[in-house]
Amino acid sequence: MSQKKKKQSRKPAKPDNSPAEKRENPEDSPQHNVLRHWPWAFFALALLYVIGGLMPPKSRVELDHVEWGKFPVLKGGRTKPVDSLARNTLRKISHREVVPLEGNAPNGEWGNLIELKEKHPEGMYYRRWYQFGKRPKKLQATQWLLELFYQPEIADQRFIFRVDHPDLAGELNLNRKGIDLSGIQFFSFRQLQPSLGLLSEKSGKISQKNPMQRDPHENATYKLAEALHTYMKMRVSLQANFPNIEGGLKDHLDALKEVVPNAAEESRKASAGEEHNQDQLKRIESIMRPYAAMADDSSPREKSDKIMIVPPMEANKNPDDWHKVGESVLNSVRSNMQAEAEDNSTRALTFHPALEFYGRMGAAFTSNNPKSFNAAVVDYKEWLHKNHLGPELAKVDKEHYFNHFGPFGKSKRLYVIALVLACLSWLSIKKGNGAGSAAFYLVGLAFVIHTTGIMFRMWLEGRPPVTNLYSSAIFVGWGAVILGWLLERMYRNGIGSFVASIIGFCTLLIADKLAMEKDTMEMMRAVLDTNFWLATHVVIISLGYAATFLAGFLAIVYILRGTLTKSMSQEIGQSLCKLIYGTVCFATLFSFVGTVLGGIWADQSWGRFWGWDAKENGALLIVIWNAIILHCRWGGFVKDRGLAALAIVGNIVTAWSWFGVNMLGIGLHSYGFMGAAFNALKWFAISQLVIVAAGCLPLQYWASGKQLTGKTDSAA
Amino acid sequence: MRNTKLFKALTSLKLTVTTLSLSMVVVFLGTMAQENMGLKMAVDRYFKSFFIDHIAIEAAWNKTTQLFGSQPDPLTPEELRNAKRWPVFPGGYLLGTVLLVNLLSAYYARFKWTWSKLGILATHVGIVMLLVGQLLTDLLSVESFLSLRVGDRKNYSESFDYTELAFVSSLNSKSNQVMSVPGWKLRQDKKIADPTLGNLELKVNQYWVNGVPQGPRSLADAFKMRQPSHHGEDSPAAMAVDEFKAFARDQDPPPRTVKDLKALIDDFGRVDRRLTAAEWLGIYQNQRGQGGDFVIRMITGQIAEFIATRGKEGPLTPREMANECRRFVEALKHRENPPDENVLRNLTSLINDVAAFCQQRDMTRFVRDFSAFVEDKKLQPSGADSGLIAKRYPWVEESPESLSMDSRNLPVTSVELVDNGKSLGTYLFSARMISQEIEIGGKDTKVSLRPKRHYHNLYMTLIKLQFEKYRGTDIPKNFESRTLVEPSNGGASRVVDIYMNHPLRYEGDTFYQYQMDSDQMRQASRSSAFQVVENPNWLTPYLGCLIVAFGLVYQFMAHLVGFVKKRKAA
Repeated sequence: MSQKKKKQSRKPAKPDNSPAEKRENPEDSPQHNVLRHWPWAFFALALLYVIGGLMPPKSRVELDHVEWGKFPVLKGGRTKPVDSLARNTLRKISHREVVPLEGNAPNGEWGNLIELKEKHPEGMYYRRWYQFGKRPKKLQATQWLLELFYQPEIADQRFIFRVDHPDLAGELNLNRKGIDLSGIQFFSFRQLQPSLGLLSEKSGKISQKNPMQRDPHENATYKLAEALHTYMKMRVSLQANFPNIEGGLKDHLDALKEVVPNAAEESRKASAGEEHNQDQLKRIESIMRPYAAMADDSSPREKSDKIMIVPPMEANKNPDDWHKVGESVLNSVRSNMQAEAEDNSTRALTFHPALEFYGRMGAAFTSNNPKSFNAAVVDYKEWLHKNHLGPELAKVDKEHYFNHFGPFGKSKRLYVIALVLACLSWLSIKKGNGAGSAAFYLVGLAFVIHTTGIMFRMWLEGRPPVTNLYSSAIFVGWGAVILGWLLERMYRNGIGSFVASIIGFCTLLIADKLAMEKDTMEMMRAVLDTNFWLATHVVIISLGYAATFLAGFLAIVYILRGTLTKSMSQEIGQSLCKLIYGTVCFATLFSFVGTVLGGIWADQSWGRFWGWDAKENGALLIVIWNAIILHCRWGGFVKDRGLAALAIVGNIVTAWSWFGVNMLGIGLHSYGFMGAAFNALKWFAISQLVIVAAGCLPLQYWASGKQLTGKTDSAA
Repeated sequence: MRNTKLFKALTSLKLTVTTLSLSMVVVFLGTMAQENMGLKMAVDRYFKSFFIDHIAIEAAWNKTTQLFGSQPDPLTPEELRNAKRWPVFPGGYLLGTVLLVNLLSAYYARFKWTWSKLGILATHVGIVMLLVGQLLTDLLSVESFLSLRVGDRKNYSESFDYTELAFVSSLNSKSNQVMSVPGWKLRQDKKIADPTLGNLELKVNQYWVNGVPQGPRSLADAFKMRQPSHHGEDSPAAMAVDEFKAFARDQDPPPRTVKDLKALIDDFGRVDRRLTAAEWLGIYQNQRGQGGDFVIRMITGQIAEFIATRGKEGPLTPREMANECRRFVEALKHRENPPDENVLRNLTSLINDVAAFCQQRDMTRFVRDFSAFVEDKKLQPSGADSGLIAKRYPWVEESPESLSMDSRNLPVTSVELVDNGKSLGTYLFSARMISQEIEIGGKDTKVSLRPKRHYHNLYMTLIKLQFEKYRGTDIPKNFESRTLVEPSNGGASRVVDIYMNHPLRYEGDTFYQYQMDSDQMRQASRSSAFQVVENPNWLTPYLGCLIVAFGLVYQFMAHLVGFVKKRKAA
């Protein structure tokens, strides 16, 4: 059949023009003509949603926290916008990127949470899913960080600390005293403050324990203690927000400017036993002590994770000369006193301009003066440009825009809608129905955004798509979506869209969970720092994972649709099995080539092609499993049902190799045991085995058994 | 023959699937066993063996059940190594052999050449190459370790796992004669007489797989390491250690048994530690003010003046000296013109510090803690009586045998050397210690227990080491060693930079930069480490992989083209 004819055959038959026919066939009514374009209308709506997200972000309040969020800071070895710092911190503490300000009192009263809390010590809860009319005010991550930096006494009252385990809240005497969200309680720093000592002691003991042997209560305690540590560290990273220290950054800088000049002479007199101005030295000491604490990095933990807010003075000459605020203040005071001591003079104390600008912003923020705040933001930005930090600014600007656009979140939502539409398409008897088309278009759109997100990340990092576990989740999803979408393009039966959207959604959900732990654009260790192998081995093995999952999910469709619905005809069953077989071939090719490239990389790095490392063994398991499926098929040991069952077991093997082996604490790819992740993995494996067991039921018990019996499958 | 049952079974796809399925089990269990057994032992017992024993299976099973919340005790190195073992499951070599035989016999029985089978054929040829290549690598490759400080020049690397007792004597000004006895022989045999050793006979008294020679001073140092330091200053217990070391040095004869040592510690505690006020204050000044701090000097001066006015210069016990300081505080408070409140508070705090410092010089606590520390060590007598090491270290502290790849076992042995039937004494040798000079057969011979050496056809000198971390983190960014490579045969030397993923290949040997973490970097203090691999077979896996990849791509493309054609035709 020619291409032209084929195109024509897909279109619905041209309606007859006779008025009688028009009356009899409701599909030919003008109303129907409009309705049959609804998939495109749906697509247009989704497109509008995406385009809406492309608009550059703007602050909705007068105080320009958006521009403030674009300032560069150095953390984790890379410069990033304050916005990323704020989001990552809030995600780690709260598992969210916003802080809801409003919720419900136990009597259903709606209002500001802090105010309601004063009246109702217990039983408060966040917006319930059915409260469609309520849209709580929220603090964006940057607004929250601004508050934490400059008005910590208010930030301390925000309910951001997530406590997963109900017993933990009881142990801290906080039962029902948090804000409830579907059984999870959120507490404020102020509520948890009395328990800091207890939590620190407990987490110290828990950290000595093998992560595999921690129970859920210990995990929750450890996580909460870590969240509190992160919060307290962030609280004092710009301003000396210690207890009993009054004033903000600007006040402290001004005070030091007043007392430090001539201090060298007084200090000399003190050490010579001469009469001196003791008050002056004491005042310097009292202001400097908290900044010295902020500068202190004697603990290995602090040393390995500094938050450096003060940029280099001459960025073109010393691009790496970033400092912590405490360090910068100490350096300025010390060098001033040293210079005074050297030439026996009195000098005016000057600080790094960034400190002055941040001080101004802080003063404006606390005095609720948005104009002055915005002016300080503009001035600092100008100074950064003058100080040759233009390229850094451009880089963090891009990341800020990427954060705002949130391509993976958008794709995830579109995949869910596509998934629902794909399922709906199977309910319709008619082939080529609207829901199927809408699902197909939406998967395509979500895929384009997914791809854009990956490319944007590659551009930002200057790296191939997969650099860590987070990006591997995104990329594996991407690979499965494109393969699924191509299958849908060929067969147009809803299966490709279904499988693509479910894998796309699940992998992005996994990526979301992984993003809760740490920065998703972390720096590469020396041994991994090679774009060539990242671009070849890692990409290809990820495609191997994607294809194995795709085959597994197609097999799930085969078994669930066959056992639970009557919609599985012999024709559909056969074509599905062909798809599974083809995908397994593709998976074998990619997983083998990827594994081999990994071996060559290992040979280049460690001097051996194959070392039986846990991750290498994981990859080998996938290759062997795919080989087993193919040989079983070639030998006729399995037919359609057996092939599907084996492909589903492939899901378990791949999930184990992808995540499981990393959690064993063995070998070169060990990322540490993640209790929650391992539980998820366990349940995933169990679910797959249940489906395999369902697939092993004799065909007479399948809902579509009658259609499938006969030629299709007599021996699995 | 082709019609025999055995041949049919050998060529069957069922055998292929069964072997592959068993391989899955072996690979999974071999991974799980690695935590308890260590990588090397797990690889040997699972993949480089024909059968897997029940102990190895138990190690894997323990780890598997651990994932599901159970907390089984890991097997001890002793159980893993020495317990009676029963083969219960086919091992890697057996499965590899069966797979190979199955594949080759299937081709022998059924192969008919067609272009469409090229992909499958190439894939299988590549797999055969990979299997045989892995076997050859197992048999032929040798891995070792080369550690160089800046300026060091070496032509040898050292084994991770094997040690040797080396006897080095000078032949002439340019060359040495080296004889060596492998560590495993020292472990196994009680008596070693080898033609290569000439008239020398070794009687192995004892062999510790992993141990630390210990003596009074090394124990004191180990105890000091455990004491917390405050802001870089030694704690009182740590300071007492230095005094104890000086005390122990003067003992003659030195303690030979643990009982003697504990008696020595008790004796130390009983020493009358009376010093004059000036001596007490001098020690304080040195410890706290490092001699130069103005405030410390001022305070100690005032205390000395006060004690002098009371006529109590000493000698004073620690408690008496502390009491004198406290009296001074009281006197300050009750002066006619007392200093203002702030000054008084600062002075009081400082003088109390002097008092506490002196009082803590009371050794009762030190004696108690140090004795308990020695007791905990479970020291064993070395049994050696000759040589410097035996003299300084009369005991051996046995450490558990390490199976991990991240740490090495450092053996200790005490050996009686018998030359021409005459005993030269029993010596203690340790892989942690340098060589001892012993006269053997009239020649001065340097004897040491050291990692087995592998000599290469080059001399390598470390010129510069570069270690960069990402700013504000401990994440290693780059390890790079600039080395001077000089061929042993006198060829032209060259400067080579070796860094991550860029090894140096030289005449069949490959030198890889080893990535250390921050702790290792601190310990290694400006030394670079290289992993050295000698593998004449390194090219085989590359070729095998290329052929398999070609085969798979060919086969996949053939299917794809066929599928597309069919769809077009439909």
